[in-house]
Amino acid sequence: MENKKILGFLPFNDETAVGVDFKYKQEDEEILNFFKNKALKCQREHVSRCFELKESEGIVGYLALSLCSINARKLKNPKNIGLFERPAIRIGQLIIDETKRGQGYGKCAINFVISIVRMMKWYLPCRLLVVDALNEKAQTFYEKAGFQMMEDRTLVFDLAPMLKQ
Amino acid sequence: MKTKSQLGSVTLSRKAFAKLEKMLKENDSRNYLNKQEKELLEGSKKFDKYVASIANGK
Repeated sequence: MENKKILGFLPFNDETAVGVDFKYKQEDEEILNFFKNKALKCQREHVSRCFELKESEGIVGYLALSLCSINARKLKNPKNIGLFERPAIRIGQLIIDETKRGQGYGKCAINFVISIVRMMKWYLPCRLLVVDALNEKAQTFYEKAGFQMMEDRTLVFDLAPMLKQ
Repeated sequence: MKTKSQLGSVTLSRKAFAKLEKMLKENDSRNYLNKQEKELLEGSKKFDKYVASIANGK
């Protein structure tokens, strides 16, 4: 995205109107429905925090973040619980307007999340971003940004080297 | 791009979790940023004031 463009991240509120003039493919309907029908409830209950990505021409996307734990399967021994878990910030939902894709808005969203993590580090340390890419295109996007594929389209980005700076 | 609708925890196989732990260990001993990290860090700094203003409810 051109640096001259200003992208804002507006937290969802009661007046947020999702989907007005938003262009999306049928396959993305489920994601948009999350923002239309569930996002505000999740936010009220402090499950996730949702943002509108807004630039001068209007809304270009939506982003939902939540905290989660990355853990290892089959932890039968209670002694292992906690040892095989890592806290993370999940990029739970991210959708960019169909006509605005490929212009750097997705990368801006990652920059925004990293800024949040850098601010958080003084209070709550969290070094991992995690995302479940829904398709190959999304997977490629996150890999190009530096996320590492773990398995089944679950990608992780480790912020630790950045947090040392 | 888009991501899946999930809010719960992320469960990895033992093998994938070991891969994650290996990556974390390597990064713990690394004191420099690669090209992607440098770009993302610089990009994130542009949002610092904005993120602070959201935290302050402005």
